[in-house]
Order: sequence, then structure tokens, then C-alpha cells
Amino acid sequence: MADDPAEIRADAAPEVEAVPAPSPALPEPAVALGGRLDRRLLLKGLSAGLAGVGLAPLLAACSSSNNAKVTKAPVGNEPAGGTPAVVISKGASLSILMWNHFVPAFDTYFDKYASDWGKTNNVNVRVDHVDIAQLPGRLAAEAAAGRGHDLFAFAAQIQTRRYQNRLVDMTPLMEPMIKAYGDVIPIGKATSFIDGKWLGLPHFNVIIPPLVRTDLLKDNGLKTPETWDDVMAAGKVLKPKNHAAGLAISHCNDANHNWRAIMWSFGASEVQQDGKTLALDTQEMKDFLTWAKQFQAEANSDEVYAWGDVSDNQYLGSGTGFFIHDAISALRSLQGKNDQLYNNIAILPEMKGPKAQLSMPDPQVFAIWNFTPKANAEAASSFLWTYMNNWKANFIASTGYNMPMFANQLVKPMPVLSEDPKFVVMQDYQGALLQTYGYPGPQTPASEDVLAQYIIPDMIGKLKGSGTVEDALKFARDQIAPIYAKNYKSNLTPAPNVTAIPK
Amino acid sequence: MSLTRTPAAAEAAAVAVAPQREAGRMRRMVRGEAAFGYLLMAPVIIYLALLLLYPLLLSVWFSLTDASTGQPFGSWVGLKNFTDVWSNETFRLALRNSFIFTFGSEIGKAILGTVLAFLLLRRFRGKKVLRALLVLPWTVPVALTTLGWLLLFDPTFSMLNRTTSAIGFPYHPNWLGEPVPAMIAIMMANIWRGFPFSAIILLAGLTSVPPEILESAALDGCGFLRRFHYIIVPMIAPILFIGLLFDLVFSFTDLSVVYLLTRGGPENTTHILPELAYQNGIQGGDLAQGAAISLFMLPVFVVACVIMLRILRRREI
Repeated sequence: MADDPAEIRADAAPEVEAVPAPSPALPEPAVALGGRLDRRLLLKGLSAGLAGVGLAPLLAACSSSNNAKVTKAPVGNEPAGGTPAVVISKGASLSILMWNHFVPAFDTYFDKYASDWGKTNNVNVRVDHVDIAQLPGRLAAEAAAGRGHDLFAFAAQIQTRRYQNRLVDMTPLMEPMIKAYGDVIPIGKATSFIDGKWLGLPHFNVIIPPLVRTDLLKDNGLKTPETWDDVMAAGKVLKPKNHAAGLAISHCNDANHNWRAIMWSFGASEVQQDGKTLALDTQEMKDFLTWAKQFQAEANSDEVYAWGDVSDNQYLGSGTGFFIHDAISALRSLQGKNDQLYNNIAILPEMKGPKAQLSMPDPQVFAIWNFTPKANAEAASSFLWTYMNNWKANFIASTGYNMPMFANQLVKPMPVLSEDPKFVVMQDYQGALLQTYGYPGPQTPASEDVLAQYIIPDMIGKLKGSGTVEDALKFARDQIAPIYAKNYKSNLTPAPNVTAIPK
Repeated sequence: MSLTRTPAAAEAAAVAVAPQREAGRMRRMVRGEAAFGYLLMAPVIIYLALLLLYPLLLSVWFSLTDASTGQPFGSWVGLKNFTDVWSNETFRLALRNSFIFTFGSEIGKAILGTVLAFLLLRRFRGKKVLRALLVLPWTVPVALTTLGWLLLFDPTFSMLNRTTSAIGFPYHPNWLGEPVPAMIAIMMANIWRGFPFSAIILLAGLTSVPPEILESAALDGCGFLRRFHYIIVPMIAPILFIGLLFDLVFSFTDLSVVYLLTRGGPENTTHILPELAYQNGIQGGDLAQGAAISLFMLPVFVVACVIMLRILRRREI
């Protein structure tokens, strides 16, 4: 491990890999029969554990002033007297389902971490990775079969509410975590806190910032964009010069989050705050669609109708695009390979719209099936506690990609991001700026269905050529209204309880 | 009345009983054979029941409920899912696309498969190696081959467009970004994958045609097309029909090419039924609607199978 924050860089990640996962002190078994965590026991255990590890260094780990000290000994790596976080019954094993991370080094790190944790705790650990798009299908199969991985990650499409009756209540694990690392930011609550219970453990957000070519702006006398209108203005100048912006209008994840972020910044949304009432027929939505039609015609690339999730990265990497809105992997992939282009790309704060400044990242949330055998659920909880306490090393291993969702972990200066001027701005991506699908209401199965069917990008697609705002609105109405109607007529998916989300 | 039986009477009685015994033995044997037959059939019946009938019945059940991935045991809603999907524009587009995709692909496969089969009938050096290579598209995993097509059709780096541009061809579409080219693109990928299978089926049939019949027809002045139409096709019709049936089912149910190339885009214009069912039922979590969409394929299969098998049976008679 690096002793000084300055030493903690992306290339330091392999060092982190070598650190075996220790076991924080937690003397009591904390998982009750049936796979549900026993809150009282776990709280007792965690309190003892925190005391054993030393609460002061743990909290210091989250503070900016003591960053160097904490980096030297992150709490997850503190010796903990050899007592596991949760007493794990004999014969436990742990199977984990993850997605293929966009930073492959993080997968290597995670797999080794899990393997080392297993060796330390005498638990046979297996980690499986699938493509992010395959996760919903895989989880549906596991839920239907009533068997599968003991611990798994929801990614991008967070289905905690859909599977609310199939998930372990992780509140006993979350409460001490919130105590140690601060409140969970709104998007973490929206994705994990369901009807008064923590059914997921917010792992991280993949931030989706604007990435812009500063050299092209400078050469053409254009100012650095701060608003979506600025992007339009720059695009109008640069598109005729073959440097159009690149926002996908296709059936891909990027299109889903980018167009939602812009839509919200115009004050428009698919649904109202109650999560049930449609909000399509508003002046804000018409303004947004009018803007989108003009943006597509005058500022955005014509190729975007066929794009997949990596297309905008490739577009930026080809030296053609002047603006994309995607994760920093687009930039990282150029680092060391095309330094000239890399140096000419800046990460910007989220663009402002006429009504708001909002961003839609891709969150990842851990969850445990309630049909997981008791011993394995204990192992999963113990693993999560240890792993999440090692958050700083995890963050470094992801090269600053995995933005934490606990407020105290987002205190500046953050490792990795604070050390490179290019990435400093990423530290500002937190709090209420970050929202998820279903906004301004909660995330619901209906909003998830709208997301999975790419209805918002398709609504923008309807504006192509002679398509009008009315055509786009009609399409969205016809597609979205039956989905919400179906979900809220059924007793099986009750209307979300918005007030239950803690502020 | 004497209780003893004379030898003659006993013999007569024995002669009378013998056929009865024989019949009984035969009956037992037949019964035994039937039981043995059923025993031999049992693995297939169990296989069909478990892997085909059970999922089919489950789909029917899902389609009549409001089941979702989170609540697979939904409550009864009758035919609502069917009426809902029928009223959906995207579904109707997917239904239309399924037919275009299937029949378009079949025509392409039939033409290319026939040409390839006749080419492979000829004797030339390296024929076996070439035959093995030609089967590769069909045997290599679809995800791998489709990724190759994705590169060919890539909107930014399309090798296809670069090549056509280099030879001065004026039309360079955004293959996967415009409705018609996107539909052509997915059909091209499907034809490329499937035509070696058509060729092999046809080749198997062609090799079974006695060469002397073709030679005598040629001597009688029959040209290639007439020989093909009046001799070859009727003789290999059973093989052709079975091959066509297989291919129709493969194409109509193939979601991988569409999923990997367009995911139904641009603007839902390349959705086909199996891919839409996967998107809505599994990705979107609406199991009931996904099941209803996929069940729309069932009548098509049943009609196609019945027609083809009837034609086959008539020909055999």
C-alpha cells in the first residue's frame, strides 16, 4: 500500500490486489434462520467490531485531513483479532455474481480479494462474471428457480423493488455502515431503500460526466460548455466541420441515461413524484423534445441511431467527436495510448438545463436472495462488511471509477480523483445531482420496464427527419401509459411508498 | 358317465386347446412387445414432456396471468395480455418483421444453399477442406460470428462501407441506424449463418439421386433447370421439406442475431417476436407479456408443420 496519498494512483491498483482480506471483529453470529439477518445480534457484533478495530481511525478514513494516515492502514485492512464480522456456520460457501466491469483490472482485484477473503475465513468462494446486459436475465432465472448465487450485484438496472419479496433485509448491515460512513446519497436510497428496509447495499455509482474536446473548442473560438444550450451552440459550429457531438439515440444503456439527464434538466420526466401519474404532456416535455430535435439535426452525429454502449467511446477515440456524455472509461482507454488526444479531452461538471442540473449515473447495488442457505448468507454478510470497509482500496483499484454512495466517503480530497487535475471535477458528482430512472418519483418496476424497452431514446428517435414533437409524444404515451397502468392495477406491485425514503 | 378320457379324445382336446394356447402366447408376446415398445419410447416421451411440454404449459399459464420476474405466480387476468400486446404498435411491427425476417432469410438461404450444394457436388482439389470451412459459420457460436457482422456494419468504422466506398459505390447507409438497411443487415447475418446448413441438406439429397437417371435425362435433351425441376426436386422433396421446416423454425425463433446487432432498434424497426419477448419478458421483467408475445409464434409453427408434414405424407403414399 502507498504511504502517501500522492502515491495512490491508478497504477497502484495491483499492489492493492495483494492485500489479503482480513476479518473485522464481530463475535456474535448475526444471521438468523431463514437467511434474514438478525438485527440485534449484528448490531451488537458490529459495535464490538468497530470498537475492536478502532472507530477513530475508521472515521478518520473518511475525513480529508487524515487521508494519508488512513491510506496507510484502511480500516478493512486493520488486524481485527481474527474474529469474523459475522460468525459463519461450518460448511459455508459463497458464490458471487458480478458483471464484467468496464475497468477489467477491477475484476481481477475483486476476484483476488474474494478468493483471499475465502482463504482467510475458510470459506470456498466462487466469483462469476456476466455481461452487464445479461444480468437481468440471469437474476430472473435465479429468482424463478429459487436458487442461484448467494450474493449478487444489480448493475444499471437496479431491481430491488421488483424482487422486494425475494431479498434479505440488509438493514442490520447498513445501519452501522451509515454510522461509520455517513448517510447514503439520494440515488443510493432510491435504489436500495425499499419501503423502510435496506434491501440492497449501495456499492458504487458509475458517474456519467460530459467529456469534451478542449482543442476543438479553442480552435473555433467556442467557450467551454456549461449548459446543454452551450453544447448545442458548439455543435452547430462543429458538426459541419465533421466534429459533431455523440449522444446515442439507440437501444443501449448510454442512450437511456443521457436522454433522461437532459430531459430532467428541462424539468420534464416520464412520471410525477408519486411514481404513478404520467408527466408526459407538459410544456417542459415539449420544450425538451423541441430542443432534442434541433440538437439531433444541427449538433449531434447522424451515426448515433446505430450505437451500442462502446460506440461513443470509439467515436471520441477516433478524434471525430467533440462531445460525449459517458463514463471516464472513454478517457482512460486513451491514457497511454493516444496521449495527445487524452490531453485535449476535459471532464466537465454536469451540463445545466433551463430548469435543473441533473445526472443519471449507473449504480451498482449488492443484494442477497432470501432463499440463500443460512450459512452462505452469513458468509455473504461477513464478506460484504469486510469488503465495504475496504472501500478506499476498492476505489483505487477501479481507478476512480467506482464512486462510493456514502456521504463521508465522498469527502474531498478523494483518492485517485484529487491527484489528477483532469479528474478533480469528478468529486463534485454526488448528492442530489445524481438521480436514477423513475425520477422524480422512486424507482419502480414500471420505470424499470420503460428503461428496458428503451422508450425514452425511441421517443427521441421519433423526431428524426419529418417526425414532430407530437409524434414523439404520442409514441411515448402509447408505450408508457399501459406499462404504468398495468403495474398499478395489479396488487402484486403496490404503488411505491415515496414518503418511506428517508431524506 | 366315465371320468376317464380315451387317448383319442385327449388328443382331440389337445388339438383344440393348442390354438388357444398359441393365441394366448401371441397375445402375451404382443402385449410384451407393446410394453417393450413403450419402454423404448419412454425416454423420448419424458424428454418431450419435461423439456417441451412443461415449458409450453408454463408459458401458457404465464400469458394468462400478471406474472413478473419478481412475482412468477401471478394472478389470473385471462386474455388481457394478448389483447394488450395486439394493440401495441411495437408488437405489430415485430410480428410483421418476423415474417419478413424469416421468409427473406429463407429465400436467401435457399438460393445460396443450392448454389453451394451444386458447387460442392463437383470434383476439385481441396473439396473436403472447403466443405469443412463452409460449415464454419453454422458451427461457430453465434455471439462470435455476429460480432464480426457488427464490425462490418459499425456506423463509424464499417468495413463494408469503406470497401464499397473504395470501389466507388455511391450508397453508404448507416446499416444498423436506418430501418430498411438494418433489416437487410440482420437478414444478411442470418443468411450467412444458415446457408451452409441448407447446402448440406441439399447435398445429402443430391447424392442420393441415381446419376444414371440424370444422365439419361440429359441424353434426352433435358437442360439443367428442367432436370432440377422435374427430377431432382421431386426425388429429394422429403429431405428438402424437413430441411426447410428446420430452417423456418430456426429463423423464426432466432433472437440472437437481432439482439446482438440492433436490440430491435432503430426505433423498434427490427424487433422480431422472440427478441421482443426477451426484452419485455426478461429484461423488462414482465413475464406475462413476454409469454404472450412468444405464444403468438405457436400458431405459425403449428400451421407450417401441419402443411409440410401433410405434403410429405401424400408424396410418400
